[in-house]
Amino acid sequence: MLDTIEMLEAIGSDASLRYASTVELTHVLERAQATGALTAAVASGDVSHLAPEFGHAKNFAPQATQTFLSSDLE
Amino acid sequence: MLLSQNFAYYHKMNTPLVAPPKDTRQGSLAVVGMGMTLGSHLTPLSRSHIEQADVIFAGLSDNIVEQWLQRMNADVRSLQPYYKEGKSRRKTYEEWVDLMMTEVRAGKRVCGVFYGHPGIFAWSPHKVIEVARAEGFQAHMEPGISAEDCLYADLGIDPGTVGCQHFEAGQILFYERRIDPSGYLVLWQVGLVGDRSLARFTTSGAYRQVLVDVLSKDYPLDHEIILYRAVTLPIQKPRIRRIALRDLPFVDVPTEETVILPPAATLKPNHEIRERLAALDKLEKEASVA
Repeated sequence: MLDTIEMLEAIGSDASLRYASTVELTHVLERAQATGALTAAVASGDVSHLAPEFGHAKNFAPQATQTFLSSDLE
Repeated sequence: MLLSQNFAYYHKMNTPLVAPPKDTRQGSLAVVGMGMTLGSHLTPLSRSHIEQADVIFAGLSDNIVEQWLQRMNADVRSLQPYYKEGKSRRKTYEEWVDLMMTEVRAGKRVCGVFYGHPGIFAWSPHKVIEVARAEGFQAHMEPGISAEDCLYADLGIDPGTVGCQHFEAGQILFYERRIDPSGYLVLWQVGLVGDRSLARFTTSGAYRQVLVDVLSKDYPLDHEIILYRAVTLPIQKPRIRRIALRDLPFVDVPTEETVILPPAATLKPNHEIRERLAALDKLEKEASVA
């Protein structure tokens, strides 16, 4: 049985799954015995349902702000 | 023999290609892009770099994507903890370069993995390659599918139709830039616009109002603009919001969202140059007849 990350990878790399309707994908996940968190995230369209499984850490979008001003401001 | 014929030959013969042995004493660096969406965008070559590296440094925008990366290599070190509110991001990025170079100098095969394309709006990947090469190490970058690539697909924009300018939003404020409103204008990192300290994670609507005031020289305030965010998980849909330019200071703009200004003017014909080209056409036609 695939775990949640493996299921996400499978969805991301399969054209039929990636663009399946919410209803279709929910059925697929239920049949594959996906976790309640993943099924709820797909059914609701809200990925915050995955937080209990993966933690609440929110990554800062790295590399933001490339216009370094130190040389201008010094 | 063509390369494709070569591969066809090897497939037909079912002969595995064996990579040449690596010099295990010499450190090396590959900086690769993870793409934007888990499972969809990672190229086979970037994945191979990740799997073959001794140590991975990860600068990713999604915690779950980072956990996916951990499945591909046993030594994944997140660069996230080096960010701190109140600490200059310039210092953070310099630390990232030092971290990667320390391992390269120790003779490790190092792979820096960054979300999207590792060379777009990304100072440290370019810098670490520059430093590594200056010290005589093998170093290179593999491209990835960027937020910009996703933007063209999700919004149905072809940058070739009328042209497209890209700026980090702050550049529009800090410097005198020439904006062409007859093409698309894409502004990155609007959520941080106007931050001169490099130490904040967000700026308020008052800073976006300054941006709107600058843009209003080239665009009407009721011009429809687009706020866009690409998906990082394959169960998400892209976030696309359309608002009037004047409303930009009053909506929430997370750092990962991009602002697109569609053209506000039609392309203006350059009659002088067209006449020059017509004269050239005529000359060449006459020369070919003679």
